Amino acid sequence: MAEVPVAAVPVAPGLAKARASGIILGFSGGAPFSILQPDGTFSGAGPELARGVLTAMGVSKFEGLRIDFSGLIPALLAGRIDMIVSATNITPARCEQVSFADPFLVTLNSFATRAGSSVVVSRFEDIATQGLSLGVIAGAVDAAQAAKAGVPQDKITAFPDVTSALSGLRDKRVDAVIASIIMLRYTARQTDSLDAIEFSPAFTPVVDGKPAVAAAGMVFRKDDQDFARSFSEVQATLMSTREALRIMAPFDVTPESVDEASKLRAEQLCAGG
Amino acid sequence: MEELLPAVPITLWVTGASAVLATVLALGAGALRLSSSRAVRALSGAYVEVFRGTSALVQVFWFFFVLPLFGLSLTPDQAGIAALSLNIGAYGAEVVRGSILAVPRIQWEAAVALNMTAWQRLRRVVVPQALPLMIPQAGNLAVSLLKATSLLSLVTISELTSRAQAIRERTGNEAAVYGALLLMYFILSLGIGGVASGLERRASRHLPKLRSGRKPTPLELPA
Amino acid sequence: MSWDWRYAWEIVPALLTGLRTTLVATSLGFALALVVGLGWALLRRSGPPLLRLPATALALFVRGTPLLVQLFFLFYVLPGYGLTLSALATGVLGLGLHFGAYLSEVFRAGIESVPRAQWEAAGALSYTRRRTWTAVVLPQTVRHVLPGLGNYLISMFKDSALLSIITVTELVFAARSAAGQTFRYLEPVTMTGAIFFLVSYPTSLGVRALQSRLDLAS
Repeated sequence: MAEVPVAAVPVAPGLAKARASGIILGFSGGAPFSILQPDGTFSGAGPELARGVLTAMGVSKFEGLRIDFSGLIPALLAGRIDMIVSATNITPARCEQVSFADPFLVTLNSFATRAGSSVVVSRFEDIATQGLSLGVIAGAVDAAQAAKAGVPQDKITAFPDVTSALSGLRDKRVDAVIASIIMLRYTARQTDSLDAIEFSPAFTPVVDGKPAVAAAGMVFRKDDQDFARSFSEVQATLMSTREALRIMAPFDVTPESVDEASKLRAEQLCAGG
Repeated sequence: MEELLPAVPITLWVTGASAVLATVLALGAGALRLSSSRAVRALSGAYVEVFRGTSALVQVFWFFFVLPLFGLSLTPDQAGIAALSLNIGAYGAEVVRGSILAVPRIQWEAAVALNMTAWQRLRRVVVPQALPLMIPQAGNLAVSLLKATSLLSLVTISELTSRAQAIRERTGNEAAVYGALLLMYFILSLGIGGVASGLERRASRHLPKLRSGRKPTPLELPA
Repeated sequence: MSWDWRYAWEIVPALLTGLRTTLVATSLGFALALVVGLGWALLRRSGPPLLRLPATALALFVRGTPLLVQLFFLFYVLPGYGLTLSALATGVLGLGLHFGAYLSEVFRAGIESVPRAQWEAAGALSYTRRRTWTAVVLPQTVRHVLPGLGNYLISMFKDSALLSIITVTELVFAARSAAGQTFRYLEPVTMTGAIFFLVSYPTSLGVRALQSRLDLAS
């Protein structure tokens, strides 16, 4: 049987290097999207999916570094890590600095408030009009979204991570905390404070009249664009066969959030669509 | 508390490696600061002043986030050790310089009168008298170094503080975790202090005791 | 990676605003440290005998543990005991206690450096305890401790950077926020280092000049 000649697809340099000498994955430790175990191993929805996709691409050596959320992109740009695998929302501003693979899950935000307090909020505007103080995660888009909705700077406190933010809520440093509802619930459950916290209905914030969909994708450096593209292709396969959901389900990821993500592409999100 | 134990070796390794590098830097820069060449003094002076004059946290961030942009790619561990060594080394250089200067001039002159070479002068006269002064201060710097390793938790190095943070994220029990962490550092710093005391005793062994039972400082030695 | 002067210039106002908070935190922290340090030193020397050893041990504990962890403890654990201070107040408290422990050593050494003869002379002149302290001991102590105090003030200024970790919006926090918008760390971090240097180096020269003058005077 004659072989059909196939045009050789050049392997992206980032991928070639990863196959040869392993890859360093960066994550923020924001459970359950990424989790650093006390013994040093890492897990979570993002890392596990990344491992699944990369293994299918021929990468076998993985190393993980946990960095505060706000330090992840600078660390990527500095070459400390090769990829960010905790869920990072795709925004036009970030797209100017880095390359995203297509989103693998869509998250909804929620306001966490102290149970029994009279605070009722469902949008950023509520925080502004009621003169409340808001806790955000440093580096997340929420701070900018809150500011746009009219929340004054001195009423926004940026915590390094969700655990600290929820501690701040408990200690009455802030009246509400905004973050992904999955992360809030998971952390509250871990720290046994589910009873003490109320969650507003999960929502997608509306910014400038358009819903700012929180679609999260893996992050690569700009010069690893081809790597990101190949990654997206393999990831799409895993998502369509439900393998991606199977990998991420133990971390509270729902079928809906994966289905929503599979309808979106990184390019359109980068363009603000 | 026991959960913190696995991270102790890493903290000690980082402290130790930084201490060794810092000692080399301190001895080198300290000696260079006393050089007869103005240029050499200025250069080593610049190193000392810059690293003493800026915040250790900023230095750690700079080495971790900024240095790679200039092409120098160190692993996080290496970046952390480099930043801390340079920082403590700068303080150490001042200790070395101060201790050498504290040795009475008479001793230098006597050594010259006895026709000792510069090397012999240093080894047999100056250093043995400067050492007992240097060691307690070096001990303090070693404890400072131990404490500074906690900053490395902010740049991914999994030493004691990071490990404590990981436990805290899992359990939310901040009082127990941070309390145990403080205790752990305290124990380690007492240990370092003990070692320093031991070294100081050995270094001043050869000096005769004063009537009060205390070992003399170089200023009290017979001129 | 090349330096972007335009960006560097843009973030200067934000950095200077952060610097203002840094200076406020340092001043308040140092004032607290002076009070705490002096009180601690007196307690260790002339306080009720039962308290002396614990006071010394506590000072050793505070000096032997990292400021960062102490700040975490104060910020996240105190509220559980009903004491919720603002981030800045927590930072000032942390700095005051941590450096108070160091200053207590400086004060103690200063007090002990006053020759015994002075104490005895005051006794011979029938000075009350209080007068002995205020007219004889403390003025001589002050000369000895000033350089040490100056150096610790500079240290505190630099260590105030740690307050950024407990959400205080000082200089380092401002730098990281700016970097967080654009993901460029080069200019913010380098300029923050430069600002620290520009404040602490001249101050350290001043402390050294002060030390020379005091040495000459003695």
